[in-house]
Amino acid sequence: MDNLINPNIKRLVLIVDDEFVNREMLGFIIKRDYNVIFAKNGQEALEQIKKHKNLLSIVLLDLMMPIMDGFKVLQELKKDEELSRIPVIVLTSEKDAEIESLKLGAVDFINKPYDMPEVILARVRRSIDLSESYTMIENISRDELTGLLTKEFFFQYCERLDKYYSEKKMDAIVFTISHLDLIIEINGRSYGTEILKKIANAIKGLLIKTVGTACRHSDTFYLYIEHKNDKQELLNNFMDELNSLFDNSRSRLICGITQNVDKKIDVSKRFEKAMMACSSLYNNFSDSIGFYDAGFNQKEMFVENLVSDVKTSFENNSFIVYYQPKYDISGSRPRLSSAEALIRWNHPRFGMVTPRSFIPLLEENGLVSGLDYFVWNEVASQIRRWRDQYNIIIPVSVNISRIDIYKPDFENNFLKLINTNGLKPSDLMLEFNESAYTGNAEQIVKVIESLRSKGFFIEIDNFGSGYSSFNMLSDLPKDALKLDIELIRNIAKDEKNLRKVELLMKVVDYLNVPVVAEGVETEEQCQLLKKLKCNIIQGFYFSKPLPPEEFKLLIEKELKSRENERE
Amino acid sequence: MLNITKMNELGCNTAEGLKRCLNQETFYLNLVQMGLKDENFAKLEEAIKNNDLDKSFEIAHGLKGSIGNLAITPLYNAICEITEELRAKKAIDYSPLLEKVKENRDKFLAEL
Repeated sequence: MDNLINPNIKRLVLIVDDEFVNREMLGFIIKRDYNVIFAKNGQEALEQIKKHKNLLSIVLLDLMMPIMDGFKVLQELKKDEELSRIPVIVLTSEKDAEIESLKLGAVDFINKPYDMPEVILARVRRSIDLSESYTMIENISRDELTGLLTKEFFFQYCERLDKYYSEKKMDAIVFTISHLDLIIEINGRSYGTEILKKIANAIKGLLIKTVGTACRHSDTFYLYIEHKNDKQELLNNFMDELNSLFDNSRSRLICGITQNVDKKIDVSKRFEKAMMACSSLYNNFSDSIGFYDAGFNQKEMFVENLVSDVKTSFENNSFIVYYQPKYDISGSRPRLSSAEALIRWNHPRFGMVTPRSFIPLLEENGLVSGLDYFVWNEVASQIRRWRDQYNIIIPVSVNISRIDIYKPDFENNFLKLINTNGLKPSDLMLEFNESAYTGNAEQIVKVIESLRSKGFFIEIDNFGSGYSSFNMLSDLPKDALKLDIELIRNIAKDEKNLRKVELLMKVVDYLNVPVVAEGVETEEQCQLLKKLKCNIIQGFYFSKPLPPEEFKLLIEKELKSRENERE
Repeated sequence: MLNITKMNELGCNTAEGLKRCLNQETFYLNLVQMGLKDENFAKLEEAIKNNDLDKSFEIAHGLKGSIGNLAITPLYNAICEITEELRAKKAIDYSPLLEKVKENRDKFLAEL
């Protein structure tokens, strides 16, 4: 540590003694290596300490003084977090006073009459070095925002706890805020910071009177704490209380636990397991606490298998694009107007795997762009095939993952697909999730603006899920909005949701863009939406997603209806 | 004029005192002079006269520290004696002890 501290800087020392002779004598010794200031009593000393708190390296403090004695000075310093970091060496001839002053936070003492000057200088230097090293370690081991440990020191500290409390059962707990970026986007950075601080303080509360430690890393908190059987209830209350801080339904605090950890495995591995239990709750809005158990082992195996099978599945045509029709209900009969492409994975061992279980995995493992490109390619060829076969254009929506937007050849890929298949850009409808705009909105808007100027049809998916403010929405380039599926699901059940959709439709009216409703399953939902002038309907009410060979029957039916109308 | 030789003759451990002043003789002798003229000697006499034992102890204890640092040994020993009695708050006649301090101090003051 010595090398890190510049020895050429003359540090500042405060000498506090009411006796002129003592002050002068000690000052004479100390001045050789340090800059020195003086105080004649405790009160003067406190004034000097406060005035020079950022520069002062050490205080040499006499105990018996008029006006305010040295003990009182030590007590006052101890009360103040900032001042208590300045080391104090007590000057005394009394043995009893030594113990008392060490208890009050003095780092060392110098006996009167003074020891050899070299001994005094060595003790002062050592105390300064120790204090500076300690402060430096404190600074890098502590998270400035919350006062918890940093992740690097946290793992070391957990190991130390294992050593000291080898007989204790411990739990590894991970807390994370889902969509902190969203909170910051909507409520501002300082609000996000406040939430982090509140969670940190609550975690500190859990650590009172128990063995444990905690750290923060970005939007995630790690807690290593003694296992207790009644922890479940404590944790439930803890989570309920903290989750009341979130007024946005998409952001919340979730937590994953590995109970009674196996101390033979690495500390980081124990938390990986807790993190896995935590991640499993991302899309599960009914639970906020997940436990790592044996089921996760199987899940881990399943995940590993899926991820390793992606490449061969492309080659074996195990990925299949399905199409769900969208009907325009504005006229006297529903007209097939377009479709949405939806991916299915017919896994050789697991059978049909739903996108809900594999898309997040591919996203996590950086494989989702490959899959997206596969879908876009398939869809462009399919639109062309239908055109060739039936002389009809069925525009198809394809999903765009957030990561795709950042790829340099993103736009070119689409232009190439259009050219290769002899299509118009408007034949492809590009679906962007509402949440995609919450990150680096400026760049994303630029990319989408450019695509739209070339004629591509831009749809905003999950509209009304709470990600965007009205201001954001009105600025987005778009040709259609797609209502969030959760809203449609409850529209006929629940007056509140109906009102919400009504309100959104008023917003849409102002924005002057068509609206698509997906997830429509019943006649009742369909009629309610029609009344609200939401005229493009997708959902099981009309048809489930179909493979191309079945979808073509819907096209044939549509063509027949159109023919009948003409007649 | 009080100098190192004279101090040694009067029983001081000037080697110790000088060491504390990084062997700067002029600085040391200057401090010795200040120490001997310390107004706390008068204040001690006053406090004892008023029978204020707490204050007397505080002053004596302070003098013990500075005179000890200056290694004016005979005066230091006399101050130590009165300080310990005052620390114990003994209800005794402090005049003889105070006189001893004065005598020793005067020996040095006479040399200034």
